[in-house]
Amino acid sequence: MADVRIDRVSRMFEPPVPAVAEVSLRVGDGEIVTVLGPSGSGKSTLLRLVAGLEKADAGDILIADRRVNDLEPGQRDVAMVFQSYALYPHMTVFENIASPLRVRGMAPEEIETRVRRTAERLGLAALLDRRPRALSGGEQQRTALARALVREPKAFLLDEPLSNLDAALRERTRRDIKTLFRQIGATALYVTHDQVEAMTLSDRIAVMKAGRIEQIGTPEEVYDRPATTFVAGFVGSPRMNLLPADVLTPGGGGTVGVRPEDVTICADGPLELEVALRESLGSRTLLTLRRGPLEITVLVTSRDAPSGTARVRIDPTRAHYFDADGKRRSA
Amino acid sequence: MRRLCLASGLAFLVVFSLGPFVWSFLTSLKGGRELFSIPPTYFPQSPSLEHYTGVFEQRPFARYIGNSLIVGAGSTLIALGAASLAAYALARLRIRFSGAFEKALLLLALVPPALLVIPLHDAARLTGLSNSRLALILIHAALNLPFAVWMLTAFFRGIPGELLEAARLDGLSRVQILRRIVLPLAAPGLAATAILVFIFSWNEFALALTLLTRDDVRTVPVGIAMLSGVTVYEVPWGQISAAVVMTTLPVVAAVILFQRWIVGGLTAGALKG
Repeated sequence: MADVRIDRVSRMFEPPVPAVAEVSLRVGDGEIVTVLGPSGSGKSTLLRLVAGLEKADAGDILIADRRVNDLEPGQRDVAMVFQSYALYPHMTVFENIASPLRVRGMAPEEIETRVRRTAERLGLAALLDRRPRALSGGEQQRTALARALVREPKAFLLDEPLSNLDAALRERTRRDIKTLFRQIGATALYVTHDQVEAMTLSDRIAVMKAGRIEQIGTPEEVYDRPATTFVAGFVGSPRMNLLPADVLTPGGGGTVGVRPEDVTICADGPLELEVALRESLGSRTLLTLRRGPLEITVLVTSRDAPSGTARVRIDPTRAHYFDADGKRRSA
Repeated sequence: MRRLCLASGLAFLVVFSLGPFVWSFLTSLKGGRELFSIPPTYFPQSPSLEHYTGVFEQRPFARYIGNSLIVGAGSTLIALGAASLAAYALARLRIRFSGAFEKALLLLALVPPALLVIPLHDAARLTGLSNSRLALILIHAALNLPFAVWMLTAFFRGIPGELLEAARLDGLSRVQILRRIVLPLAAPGLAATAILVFIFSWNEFALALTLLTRDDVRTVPVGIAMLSGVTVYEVPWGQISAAVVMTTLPVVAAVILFQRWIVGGLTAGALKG
């Protein structure tokens, strides 16, 4: 494995609007970095730039300290797992997994050994003669993963690899991927719009918006100290409340952010609002409280969920403060 | 009521289209005297295969078929080979002016081949290819190229782009992607295109007539037209009909066999516009 460095890379599709604008990011050797962002944020384009499927208009891409901007995708020694899996429908599972090895002119016995070993590892050993059409979604996903693994590439690129799986399978596969990547010390750049995936899977998260990286940090850093109101609103579920700052400190400008679990309902709370919506999450209930234009969501244990009106208190030490332009206020 | 209208309309169309062929078929089975009997019989009274054996024994019909097969297969191979390269580029590579190129191809396909008969005849003479099957192979291939490119482009566009990207990451070159991924996946499209191109060549008359004047290189349509009786006044209808039936049936069989893909090919990409 090796590290991947993206240095001030830009890509325009329809100038002057950049799909990716001066993005710098380093994926260390054996590190899993997630690029998290909504659709249209440029995260997939960033991945395709590293893969070589897009050409960078500016900046450098280095894999194992070698500039790869002008190399074809096949020469970059990176493997990619596509959202659609992109399995070759006319080939068997074996042939699919063997494809990158065959191209490299590896000896048939060696191919056989490596394909079988990889298939064994991913529980595909019994399916090697099937065609992709005859596989379940999960099996197709693992075949796509096997085709990437078998190459022992310098880095893995994954483009929303779990988004076509149902919820239960997605959770299990997520854990499997993490375990597997840890075992082999994989360097991985992982693109997703699912913040739970990003939080659980990565060593570091890069949150993207409109072609730029808003924040890079460990999952804890991104969750505990969001750098912008965008990150604050995107990471964490249920979503963080972003309120005008004068709710907490009269006369203050900018925005104050507070997570629904950090709002408490108590009889002497300074804010009184009406309960507009109750959404049960089982042991907990999400309340939407409203007064005029002000809307606050609160997470409470279901036993304590009030109805009618409620008084709430926001713990100022648990709140996040942002300037008018959305940047986190230092302190 | 609407179904009845539709059914009778369709029935009329089928009868109208099949009429000449059925008549040829019936004629081909009639004996020598019955052919010219007045009033004419519709169904052969004593069906015989004498005309079928006749075209092979008294005429070089086998040779015509051989020539047609050579010209058809040759032009189909060349047209498909060139067209798949062009179609791959049009469908999958980002090339400047590819849109204009595609439209120009369609325009080319609209040029009536009859216009080209004389210039092509001259060209063949100048290049020393008169009376050469190669000339006809090249010309049929060229005439079919726009159509073949257009049709294959539609098929190639139907292949998901991520498959080709996965192949690029696997390390396949452009040519390997075409050979190992695109062509196998577009096999039905290739078959459909091949059949249509082959049929064009198989049926083409005007160029074959002017370019190939020696009897030993003639193709089937020209051969049939040149079948003559012992005297100028005698037309060997029986043998002509037998020859027509024998040249039509394989084509019809092929189309029926591949019709699902032919229709798919002509309408592929139609929805994406």
